Amino acid sequence: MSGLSVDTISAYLILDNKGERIYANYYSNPFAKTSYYQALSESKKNGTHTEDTKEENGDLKFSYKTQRAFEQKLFKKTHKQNSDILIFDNHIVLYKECSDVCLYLVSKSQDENEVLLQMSFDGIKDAMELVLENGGIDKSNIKDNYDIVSLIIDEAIDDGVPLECEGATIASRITTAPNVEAPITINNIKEKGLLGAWGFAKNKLAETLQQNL
Amino acid sequence: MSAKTYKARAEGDQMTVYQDCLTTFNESPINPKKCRKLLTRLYKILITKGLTTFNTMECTSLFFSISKLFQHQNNDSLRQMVYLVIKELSSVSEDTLMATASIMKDVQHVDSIIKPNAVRTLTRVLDSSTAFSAERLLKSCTISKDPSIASASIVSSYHLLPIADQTIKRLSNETMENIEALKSFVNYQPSGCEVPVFYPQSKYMSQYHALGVTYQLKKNDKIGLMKLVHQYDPSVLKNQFALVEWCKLIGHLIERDPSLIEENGHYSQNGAKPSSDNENEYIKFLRWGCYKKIEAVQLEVCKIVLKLRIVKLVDLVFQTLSSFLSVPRTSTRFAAIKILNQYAAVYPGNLKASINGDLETLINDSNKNISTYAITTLLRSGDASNIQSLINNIQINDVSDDFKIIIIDSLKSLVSKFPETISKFLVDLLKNNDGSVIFKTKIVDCLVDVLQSEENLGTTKTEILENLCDFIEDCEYTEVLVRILYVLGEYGPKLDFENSSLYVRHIYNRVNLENSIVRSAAVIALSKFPVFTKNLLETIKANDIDDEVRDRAAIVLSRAAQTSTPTASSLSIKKKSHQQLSRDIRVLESKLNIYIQNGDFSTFELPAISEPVDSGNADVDMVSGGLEGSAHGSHEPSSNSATTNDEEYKEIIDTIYHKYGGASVLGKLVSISPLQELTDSSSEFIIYAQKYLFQQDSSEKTIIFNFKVENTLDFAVQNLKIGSSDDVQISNLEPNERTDVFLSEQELQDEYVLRFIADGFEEIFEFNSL
Repeated sequence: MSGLSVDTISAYLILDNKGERIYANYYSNPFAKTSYYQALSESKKNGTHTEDTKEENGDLKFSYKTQRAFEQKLFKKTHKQNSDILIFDNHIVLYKECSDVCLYLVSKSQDENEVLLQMSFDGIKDAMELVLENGGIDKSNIKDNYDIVSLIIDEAIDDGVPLECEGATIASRITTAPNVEAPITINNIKEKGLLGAWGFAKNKLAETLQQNL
Repeated sequence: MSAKTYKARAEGDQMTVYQDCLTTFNESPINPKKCRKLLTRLYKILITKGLTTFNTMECTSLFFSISKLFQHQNNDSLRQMVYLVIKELSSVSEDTLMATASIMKDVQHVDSIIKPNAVRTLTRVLDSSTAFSAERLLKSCTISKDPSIASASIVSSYHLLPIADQTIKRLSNETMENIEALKSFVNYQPSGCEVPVFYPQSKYMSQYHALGVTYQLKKNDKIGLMKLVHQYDPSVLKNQFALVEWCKLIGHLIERDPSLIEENGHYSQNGAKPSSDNENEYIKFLRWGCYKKIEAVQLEVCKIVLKLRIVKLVDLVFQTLSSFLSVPRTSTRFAAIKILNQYAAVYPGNLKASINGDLETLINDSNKNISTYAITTLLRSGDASNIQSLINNIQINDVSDDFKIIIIDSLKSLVSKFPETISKFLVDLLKNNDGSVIFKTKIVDCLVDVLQSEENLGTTKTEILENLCDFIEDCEYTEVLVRILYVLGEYGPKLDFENSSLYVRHIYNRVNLENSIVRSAAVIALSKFPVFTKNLLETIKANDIDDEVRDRAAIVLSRAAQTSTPTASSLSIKKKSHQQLSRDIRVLESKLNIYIQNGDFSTFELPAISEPVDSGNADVDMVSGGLEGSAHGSHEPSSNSATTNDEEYKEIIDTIYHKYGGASVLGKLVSISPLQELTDSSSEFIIYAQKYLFQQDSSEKTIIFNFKVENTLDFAVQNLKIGSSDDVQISNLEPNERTDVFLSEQELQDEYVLRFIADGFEEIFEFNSL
């Protein structure tokens, strides 16, 4: 009964305004994935693997070529359309264009519950908006904070299973880059805004004063 | 590694990242910030370029060097990224088990922000032989007070189900506790980095995950599932995902056993309504779901009710769906209209009563997917009264071609019902809109349907023709032009003979203005009006610059000369001969196929093709699963035993009679199907099948399959079995030997599976039909 399984999502994608991949994760059971790649590497070893014929019409879950073809077709259908939801290739696709990137959530089948998919989709988007304070969701921001974006998606979907759909909850679980030795960096102040920077500076000043005393 | 992969690598910075990873992760002491940056770059490559960017060896060494980072304690920021990359790499890397100990150590560690990540990564490095070792850890995490740790552990169990269901079964009690428990978040301060603080709000997702796993564990136990539905009703479930899963579970139970809702009768047979008090529980649950103000739940109930046709709730469901049509959330509107579209044909009455009005407002919805669905839904359920206004309402101008085509397709099914309205609409669409070739062709197709219909539609048909004449004056697509010219030639003289001069004028204009392809088509079209066009054709024959056009003109002229004098009566003759021709095309095609295969034209007799194919035999199509049986022509056996004079057949039939009790049991041989190749020529066994139809008297027919099996292997195989029976049909098959096997229809038992169990290996051929 696939209808009752909890893995309802088959992919999460971020494409840029030319349809190029920024982030793409196609979900499948981790063990199916492992055995697929094992078989692939073995057939490569034995020299029986003919890459082109095998990957052209391969499984969307694994084959890079099939995935790219899927993405390009999807992009053509959705770019500048602003309709947020469509049925594509037997998947329900939710998408949202945010400045120069487009976020996609691809369902496993046509029968998934659209509202729940929307909740997962919104959760990821909300979390991104919360964590990527500066400028929100756009191409350069995503590229600069690729670790954070990847972690957000990872915290929201675990191999097809919606793990968490509340933006703030996802955001609370995301770590930022480690601070080595020097805790104050320009970057840090920028991220926190002027008020945050003021508060931070005040604390730091108080600390040093106390230490000196 | 091929040269191609090297080239691909030179483009990116994969190798730089690879080298950097190996050196930086092995440094001591490590620099967490640098490492996390590098991990991010590595992850980006894996995600955007596919996991096959690095080969197995490279992945393994990457995996190994990353696992060194586990030595660096107390830096959650780095650790979280390590887990992310390890999760991705574990499916391509070998020896992933080496990281197990480090990950397990993290899982055993006190609760922290990275514990869920550790749990989720743990399953990726396990396999079916080591999964049991995680049992204790998963158990302790499942009962954790922190919802994200519990969720991570339950989801991990879910992933482990296919390879270690026994282990997960032992966790079922702990998992079920999670359905009830409402766990709230603990906010951890991660070590090693500054984070802005967000306040997590628990939506109790672990309920959903736990319910999902519990279902998977109990899915074959109906009573268990029923208990599950009752035990965890909406008073327990707070999470929307879990509630939807619960509704699905109810739907699943009803689908498996419809008697669950019949007890109190959803068909009230005596006409007496069952009082709401003793209403069936499952109906009550679903009714509750419909009233509950949670869109996801309402939507799921609607799907279930309409799919399972639970008549009692259909009205309520339609009310709910109609309320959905006006909500601002696009996905909800979309979902509702998608359901309505799917079931429009099943419940036209309900649809008309409660929803049509709302649908009409959706025709102009900003989301084109929704408006298209709305239009097609309305068209499906529409009747004469509203179709007129509906079609007038369709604002098709600002829609993309894809949607126009969908709309045309749905109009096509209605053309026979409302030819006038629709053809008017289509003609406008054809003339006033830009559009792709496909779009225009679709419209012409639709209009041809109108022209073809037998009914007398007054002036509609001639209007269509006249409009088509107008349209070809400025049509840019050659394909569409050629099609319309054909249509004009075909239907012009038939429907509107008095106005022939009009058509001739329009068609002749094309001859003067268009390219040679269009001119050729125009010549043929002109020849359909022989009374008027003889002279025109003569001129074309003499003057056109294109060979094909001149040839065609010459052919049609000579044909006209052969037949009687060009009068109107010749039209009917032509019509008849055309019909004759079209019927014979299939025969001609099959004859030509034989010719192409055999290269032997001597047997090609033109008079023979005028006999239509015996449809009975033609239907004995041997479609073998995916493999196309090569057509061996129609080897038509005559109904008497004349063909069996053939020595080979006689022998075969003797064998069949011998095996199945002779002519007294089987009756007479009626028909032999052509020999079909079921396998392709490269497989280990080449199998042909042939059907022999025996008939006792008028009623009893027996089909005997004759499988010819040829061994192409270079060694002999023994004990071949065909079908599901255990009998050995062929005890020994030498290389390149060919053997006949006979099986009756009963012996195959409708299982079109040919099992070749040769000693030591088994080969199964499955066929969809024989």
